[in-house]
Amino acid sequence: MRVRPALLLNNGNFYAKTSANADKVNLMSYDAESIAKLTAMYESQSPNAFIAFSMEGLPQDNDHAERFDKGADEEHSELSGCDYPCCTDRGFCTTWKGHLCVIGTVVVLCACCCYATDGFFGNWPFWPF
Amino acid sequence: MKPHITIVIKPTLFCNIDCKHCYHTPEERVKGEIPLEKVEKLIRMASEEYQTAWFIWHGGEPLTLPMSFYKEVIGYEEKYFGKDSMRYGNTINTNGTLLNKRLMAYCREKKINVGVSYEGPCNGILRAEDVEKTLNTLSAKDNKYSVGATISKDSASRQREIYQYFRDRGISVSLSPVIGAGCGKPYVPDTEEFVRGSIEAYDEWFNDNTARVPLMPFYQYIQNYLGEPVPSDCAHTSCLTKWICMYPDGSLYPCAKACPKSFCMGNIDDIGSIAEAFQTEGFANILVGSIARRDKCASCEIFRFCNGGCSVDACYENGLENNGGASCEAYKAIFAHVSQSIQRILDEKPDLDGYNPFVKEAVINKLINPKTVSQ
Repeated sequence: MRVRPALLLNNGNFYAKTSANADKVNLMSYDAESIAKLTAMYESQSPNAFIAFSMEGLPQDNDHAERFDKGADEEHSELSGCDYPCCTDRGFCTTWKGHLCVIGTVVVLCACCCYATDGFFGNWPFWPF
Repeated sequence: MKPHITIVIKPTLFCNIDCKHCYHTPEERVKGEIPLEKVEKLIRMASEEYQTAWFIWHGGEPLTLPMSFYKEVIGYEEKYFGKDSMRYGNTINTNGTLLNKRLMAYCREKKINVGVSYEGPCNGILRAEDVEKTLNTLSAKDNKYSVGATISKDSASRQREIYQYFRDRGISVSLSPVIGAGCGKPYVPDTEEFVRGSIEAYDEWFNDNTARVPLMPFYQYIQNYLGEPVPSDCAHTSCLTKWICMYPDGSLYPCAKACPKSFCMGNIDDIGSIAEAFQTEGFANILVGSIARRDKCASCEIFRFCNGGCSVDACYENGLENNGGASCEAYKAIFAHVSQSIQRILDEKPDLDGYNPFVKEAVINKLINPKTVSQ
């Protein structure tokens, strides 16, 4: 049998609240025992909701590549162009060493291609090899 | 140890955009960040009193704080709950305007769910900023995320369109009405129109055997009807004592919605345990009214499913201890439609391939799992 809270709590002020006075509710204080009884009463109204309460929606493990820039901490107003730590938001290298690496790689690749295609199939007549 | 608590932390009430329907007033949405010590104390207490905890970072706009803040607080979670212990999880609720790839990468690394507020084709009704590009990046990067679409009076009849928009992009979406608190009052949808729009969206999803995403809250309603209510459906799972919210000043409330000050459960600085917060006068205040309302609800045939609904919604409708407000009426009508559609499947046992995979899985689970066969 459910007991109306107003009957249970001699020191609780049972109130009627409307949207107009939602912030202006006059209440008396409750002792710990009263609140414990209130909580028990609340739970007894819907026992099933308090029987099995398990955590749901835990993130699953995934195996996709993580490219987290642990040094990045600044705020951005736009999506950055690249999220590798060696790149700036605009897609450029963050250091001069990075620039040198990229330029060196492009030169080597070009040289290899030129060698493999015998001067880009004769289009570059200065190819010495 | 108690089993689980959901902790909503509002690290700031400041927001970089001004959504028309925000339940925090412009006077509340001022700059000011929560001190890290307060967050650490709450995380520590949660780890000592609960087996598991889910942290929801809310606001204001939580991403107006720098990423270093989140690195610190995730560090506290790892410290107190144990790294990779599976005892905790996180969701960041954001308007999406400040999400960048570094933050997305961090969320992937730390398995943080991202909830983006966005209305797709109805964007512009409640907020001006368009975050479609951000959603595309989240999808491309395989981030775990979903979208929360807020339904206003101007989009109530377009819920099916909103669902179709996100369905076509493979994005899980939740449809929630504006609540009549703070700035939201002028935008609250008409109940009948909202119900009609919700049922149209539900039917579209329900009969779509190619659906790749769940449609919330209807999928939760189905799970509830089939005997497996999910805690994230907070309004219908007796949330009091299972949720707690901390504001930037450290004050504690039983809910993250626009709680009246009379429900304040003290300040984090003044308590030694979370249990103490649930023994305060503020908590008693919401308990008394909620018990009274649920007492009136007890004879209702769907009380065992709705558990009296949301106390804060009731507060802004007919008063805390009165049922029959807009949220109550809407839930009754929508849940009746949802439950009838599921019961028809249970009774007629048709070929389930014609229904969407989420419905199919939920029903099959119901049919093969004796634990949930209770209708």
